[in-house]
Amino acid sequence: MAVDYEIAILLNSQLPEGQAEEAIERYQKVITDHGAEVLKVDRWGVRKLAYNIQKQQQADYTFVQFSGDKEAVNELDRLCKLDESVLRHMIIRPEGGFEPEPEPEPEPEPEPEPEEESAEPTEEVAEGEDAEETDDTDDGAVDEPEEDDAESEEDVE
Amino acid sequence: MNRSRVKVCRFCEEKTSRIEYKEVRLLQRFVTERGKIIPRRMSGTCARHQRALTRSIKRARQIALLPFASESIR
Repeated sequence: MAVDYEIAILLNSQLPEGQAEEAIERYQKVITDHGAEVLKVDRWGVRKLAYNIQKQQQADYTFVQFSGDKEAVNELDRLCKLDESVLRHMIIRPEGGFEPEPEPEPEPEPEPEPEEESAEPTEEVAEGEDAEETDDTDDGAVDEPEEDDAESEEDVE
Repeated sequence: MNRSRVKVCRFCEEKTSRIEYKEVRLLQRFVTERGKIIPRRMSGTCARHQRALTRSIKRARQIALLPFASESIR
């Protein structure tokens, strides 16, 4: 029975011109050669990593959605482990399979979400989030569960 | 007072069926600046969505979309 899978491949961003595309093609062929079907290929291109992998600060991200059996998955996993140009890979089974998505990828634009603000007009929360985005402060603000204390302090002052 | 106001799970409100691990901007809002997952009691997320969120955040960490720990702490 064919199951939906998605593989994330992080290729070395310093590969010579065209090699990344070639590698992706190669992996697609692996998928089809093992009785699976490629559903969608999502190339993100080079992106900064949240942490260094093999001393690299960026990687070439690709997501391939496919539907197949464990042979395809096992072979893909094996080859990715062997491939030096793959910094990291991850094969997952999306919950509930793939829906016929209307929007191709909501990723690049952060989708401003006005509801975020309207749903949580709390000052506390807003402050916490701001602190997280600015990234400079100590994380003490997020960890304090006692707003009562804070208020009483203000009262004293 | 704060607590009573943040009670609503924003995923339930938006009727989100799936929390995609690739939506970094979304996941980032549920992570402290140290990279820790914000607990349910702070964010107001419901149990089901918190589980999905946690899974997505952990996946995102594996492929370096999110940090395990923020830059400064490492």
